[in-house]
Amino acid sequence: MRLVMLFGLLLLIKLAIAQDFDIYPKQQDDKVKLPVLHESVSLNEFRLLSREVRMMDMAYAAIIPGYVHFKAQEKSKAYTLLTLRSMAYVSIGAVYFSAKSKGSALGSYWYDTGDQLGKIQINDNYSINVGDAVLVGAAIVIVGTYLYDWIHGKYLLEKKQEQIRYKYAVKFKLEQTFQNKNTMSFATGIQFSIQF
Amino acid sequence: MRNYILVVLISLLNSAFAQFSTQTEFEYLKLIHTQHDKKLIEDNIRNAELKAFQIIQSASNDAYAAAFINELSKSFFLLKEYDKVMFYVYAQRFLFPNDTVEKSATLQFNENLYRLGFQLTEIDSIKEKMSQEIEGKTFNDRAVSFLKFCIYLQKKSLDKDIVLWSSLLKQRTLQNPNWLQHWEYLTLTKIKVSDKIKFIESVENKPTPVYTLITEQSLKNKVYRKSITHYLKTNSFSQSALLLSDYKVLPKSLLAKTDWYFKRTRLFLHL
Repeated sequence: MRLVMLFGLLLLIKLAIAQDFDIYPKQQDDKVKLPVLHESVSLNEFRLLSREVRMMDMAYAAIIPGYVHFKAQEKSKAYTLLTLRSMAYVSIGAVYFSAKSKGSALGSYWYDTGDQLGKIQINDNYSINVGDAVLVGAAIVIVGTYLYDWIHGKYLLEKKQEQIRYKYAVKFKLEQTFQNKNTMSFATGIQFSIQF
Repeated sequence: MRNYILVVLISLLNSAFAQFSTQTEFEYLKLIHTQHDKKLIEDNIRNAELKAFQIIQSASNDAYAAAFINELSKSFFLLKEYDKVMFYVYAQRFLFPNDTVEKSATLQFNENLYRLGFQLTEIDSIKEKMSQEIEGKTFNDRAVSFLKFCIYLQKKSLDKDIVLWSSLLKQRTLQNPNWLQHWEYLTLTKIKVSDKIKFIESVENKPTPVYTLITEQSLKNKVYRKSITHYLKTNSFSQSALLLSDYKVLPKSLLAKTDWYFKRTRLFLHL
């Protein structure tokens, strides 16, 4: 038990002094290194290429709904996630205040609305409170949108980066091939040179 | 050894900052079309359209210009943007005529016009008119005809492209025909496509302002109204005041009169 506590304490100290809790910290300062870009690269493409989803973003995504999708420049999906999670938070708030208004009468848990919001009858013997159903639904939406934002957003960002890299890599290769073809000339001849 | 490294570096830098050639863009388009990946095609549209602007601006004699523009139209075909397909098909046929490319794209040309609601007889008449406008004409004349054909497709989605290409053309011709300038003005003031066509067909090719040329009262009122709104939005208050005083004397409905008072208040408050 002591060993576990000691390990926990060490972990807390490490987290407290760390600037970033990434597992793979950056080894170089990207802000100093200036990239050499082709003139066809747009600012949006450059932004997408220079972004990556790190552990830190996992925390940001928990606070700001749709954060990873915003980062991947998928605004419509990001705003949908933002709306869904906001609605879930509002539902939890509604259940809380509804329970609070009857709190003195019920006197148990903060989410216990009793049958104030009505009941959903599953069968003759079993029914659930609407308040509980709303809470469970909201929790599913919050966790679901968070996971979707994190996993799908990361996938989208990587896909977009692959597309940009593929596009310019192929074009560079084609350009080099055509340039070499145009400048290449084969001719037989004899060359004389005099050196002093 | 140092010199050798320097030469290699300079040649690398040279290729790094150079614009991709038409041949490269054409081959890349062919490569991605065979993959049928819509995201990849969408991602390349910006680069391909920039190349198309560059080609038209320089009136390039590049052997790949016609093939490239035709391939670009295929990109839009795969993205199911049929208005833009027609725009680039016309661009290729008017600006960079090439029999080989055109014969290979005949099926796509017809198919696309059917999709845009044209009938077989209309397609034949379009082809005939096109050949009349192309044969023996200079690049600049063909460019004006190209824009006219695009305007007659009557697609709002093409307005932005037509205005953009018209300004590109202006850099070559220094001055576009008056009807085209009128059309640009009407687009700027957000007049409906059908009204613009009606105006172009009826009006003479005079350099005077559009609102003085219109004879039909309802259209004239609409153009005045939209022009004033446009000038108010762009904070051109003296021009707005001038148009408001002209518009005041025109016969109007009660609703239009209310709108006039509203606009005058807006002008007075400089909103």
